[in-house]
Amino acid sequence: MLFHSYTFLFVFLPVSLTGYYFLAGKRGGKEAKLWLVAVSLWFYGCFGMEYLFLLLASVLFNYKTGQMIRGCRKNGRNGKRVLAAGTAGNLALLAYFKYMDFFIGNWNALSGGNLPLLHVALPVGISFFTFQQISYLADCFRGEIEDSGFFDYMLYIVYFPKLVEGPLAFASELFPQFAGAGKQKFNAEGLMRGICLFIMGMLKKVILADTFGEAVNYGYSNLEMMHGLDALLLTVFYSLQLYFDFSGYCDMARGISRMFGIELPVNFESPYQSGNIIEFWKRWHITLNRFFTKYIYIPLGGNRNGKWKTYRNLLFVFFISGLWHGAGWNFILWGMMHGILYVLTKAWQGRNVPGGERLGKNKRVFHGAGVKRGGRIAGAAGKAFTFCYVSAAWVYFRAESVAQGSRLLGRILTGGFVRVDRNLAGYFNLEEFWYILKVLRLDRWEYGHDILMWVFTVFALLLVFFGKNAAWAAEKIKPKAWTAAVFACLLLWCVLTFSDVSTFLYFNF
Amino acid sequence: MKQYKKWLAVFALFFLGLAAAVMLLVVYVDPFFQYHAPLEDFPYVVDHQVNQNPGMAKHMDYDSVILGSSMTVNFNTEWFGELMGLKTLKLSYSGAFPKDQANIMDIIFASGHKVDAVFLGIDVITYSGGVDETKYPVPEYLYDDTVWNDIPYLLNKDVALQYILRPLADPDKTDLATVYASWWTEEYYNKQWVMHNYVPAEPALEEADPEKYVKNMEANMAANICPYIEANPDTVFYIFFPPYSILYWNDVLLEKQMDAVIREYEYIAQRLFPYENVKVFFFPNQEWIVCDLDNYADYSHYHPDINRYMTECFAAGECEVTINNLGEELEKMKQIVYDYDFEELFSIEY
Repeated sequence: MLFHSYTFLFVFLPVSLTGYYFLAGKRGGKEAKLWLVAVSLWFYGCFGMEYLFLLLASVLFNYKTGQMIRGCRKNGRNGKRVLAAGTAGNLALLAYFKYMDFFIGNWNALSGGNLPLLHVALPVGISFFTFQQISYLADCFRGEIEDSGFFDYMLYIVYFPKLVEGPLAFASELFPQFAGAGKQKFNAEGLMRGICLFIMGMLKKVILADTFGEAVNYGYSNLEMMHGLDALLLTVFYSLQLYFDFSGYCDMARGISRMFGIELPVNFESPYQSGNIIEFWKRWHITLNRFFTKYIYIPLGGNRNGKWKTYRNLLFVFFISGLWHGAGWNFILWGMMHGILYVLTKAWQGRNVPGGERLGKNKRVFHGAGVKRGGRIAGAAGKAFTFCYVSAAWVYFRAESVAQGSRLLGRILTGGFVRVDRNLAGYFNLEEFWYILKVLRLDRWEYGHDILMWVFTVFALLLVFFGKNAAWAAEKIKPKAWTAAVFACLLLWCVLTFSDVSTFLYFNF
Repeated sequence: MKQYKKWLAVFALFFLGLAAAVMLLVVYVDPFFQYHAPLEDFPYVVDHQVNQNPGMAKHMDYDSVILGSSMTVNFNTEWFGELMGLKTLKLSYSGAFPKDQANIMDIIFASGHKVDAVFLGIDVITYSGGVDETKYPVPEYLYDDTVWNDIPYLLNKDVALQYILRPLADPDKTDLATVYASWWTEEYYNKQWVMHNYVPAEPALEEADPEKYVKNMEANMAANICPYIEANPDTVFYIFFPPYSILYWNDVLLEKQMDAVIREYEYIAQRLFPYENVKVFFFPNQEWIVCDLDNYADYSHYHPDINRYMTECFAAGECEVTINNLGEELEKMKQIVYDYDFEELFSIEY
């Protein structure tokens, strides 16, 4: 069941909310919490009952392992072996469902063998709930969290707004909230702001991401027909698609959770407004990045053992990040592209430059008005460079293979610049906007067919480079009748588009 | 807090009101004909086989239907009235699999219409696939009788804009007699165009087993075709094999499947002969059609004139095969292929 589906919107969400607030406050909130667990299992069961059993088994396994780790600590042992066994169990599950065919394929290629591929179906959200449980075990080992009981733990893992695509919340963030969940009364403001955020996220997904997505699918399927400008646009389109898709999902997830009075961590902070790659990774998929920092980078030594070991640790983290995103060499290449630029940027920032004074980790203060202006230009250039580099790396993220990604980037340089492919531009001619062009008689203009493509692209770029976050906007909306009417219209627009939208891109991670 | 509650109430009322208005509009116009027959004055656009065929089968006025793949889209239903006195509805599915035919026959025979005739085109190659395979995903909510799952139809931007508002703004009512007709205009039907675009099949190394497809054909006929023939003895089923061009047979030769394909025709025809309400028509061996590439727009799709000819045959009983002459007709088919001078055909640059 997707957030942008009729069943979710007209059945699941109203039933879940009504049940939750009906039970809220009864028996210390226990029943409301149980209700949340039940509806979360219903939500996940809709993807397939076999997945549900796998999820439950995984939850049970990790809860027990967490208890064993705590038991060890109480008895004066550190529980390292239990943690190692628990983590290995989780990784084995992930390896089997996500990476088996990748390993077999590479083994066959290296050894000349012919082991058959397993073609195991990937359970929805397995990367997210597995990583979250690893983080729980590690936090138990560090003594950062206490046992809050099985149902709170279960709710922490299966809580439906974040179950299939994150954000990767730490137990220490959600346990305190779950302790109070179900006790609080209905909060009209929370519901209103949650609805607004949910609708803004849905707009990003169904109107922006899916429109760019259709053009991208067409372009990648017809790569040989793409000229230089088409290939360049395709690269930008996919950057925008991925951003609106994932951040749209996160806004929806946070909006839904807000309706239940539970705050999920922020996952996006206008990442394309970043001046360099280090900043980018503090703003893109924030919860995954902090997971890697806390559980891989720092345990490896972080930046405590000299710069070369710091760079090694960073590259390893980006290698794992690439692998986490997908079982393929193109994902690893994508991760390493980020890793290399990250290390180079780190090295650049660490150097001693005359005229510049280091301020904290990443900031540098310059002196004099001319330098200030230069700083603004440098900032804009940094943003532009980061966006271009990240977009080029996304090509490998989207491509079916490294070769296909390289072919697309090659076409930007060698494909020749002619008019944009008519079919590619056609995907932006949404019926609702096309009427406006018709009324203005712009559809008869020679370039009329391309107008909406440029409008969409420029609008989306302005939004990602200069726009405020949806979460910020949701907090600012005034509770006036006209804003209610506007949001009702926007929701209807999304709903009318449901039957022609795709699944989320981060679904299978 | 009161202002937020008021906001929620306005939001809910506004959204539900707007959604209800859209749904009522869709129900009233009903561009996919799910709830009622077409409105007298509305300029309906009919161009989506998967979405619109089930509603047409439920609510249009007809006594006979044309079923089949793109081989049937160029029939003009008025010919059936002129030659056979029938009021025929075309329900083609381009690239249809047998399950697609079964899905629409379920609706036709449950609709309460008295169906005198079914004209069903059979593309043998599609009968070698899976029993439950359909060419495109089927929107179940349009194919069942339940109303509660119709939301994707009632709240759908394409339905509201493309099938209701656009026809109102720019009326171009579809003529049901020629609905779904192929886009090829007259100038595309010529040998030069066909040969220029023709890509021969990959040659096979080994001769295919003649019985290769029989098992799946048997399953498809048993599940998707024969039950409807048996359940409707008062309906005459005109089942026909369309005439693909000689280039189709060139592919068959390259793939070393001659005996397997001939066996497909033989199996299906023999499976149908015992039924008294079935007439089988065999067009592939009409040499004057298949060997003249000016009759085609590609290796298999023929000119509407050929559809007219087939309609005349249905009316007159020509090209009908029976258990007595099937072997002879299949032999003639093979002979046409074996005798054809492919070398000469491919010796010219197109």
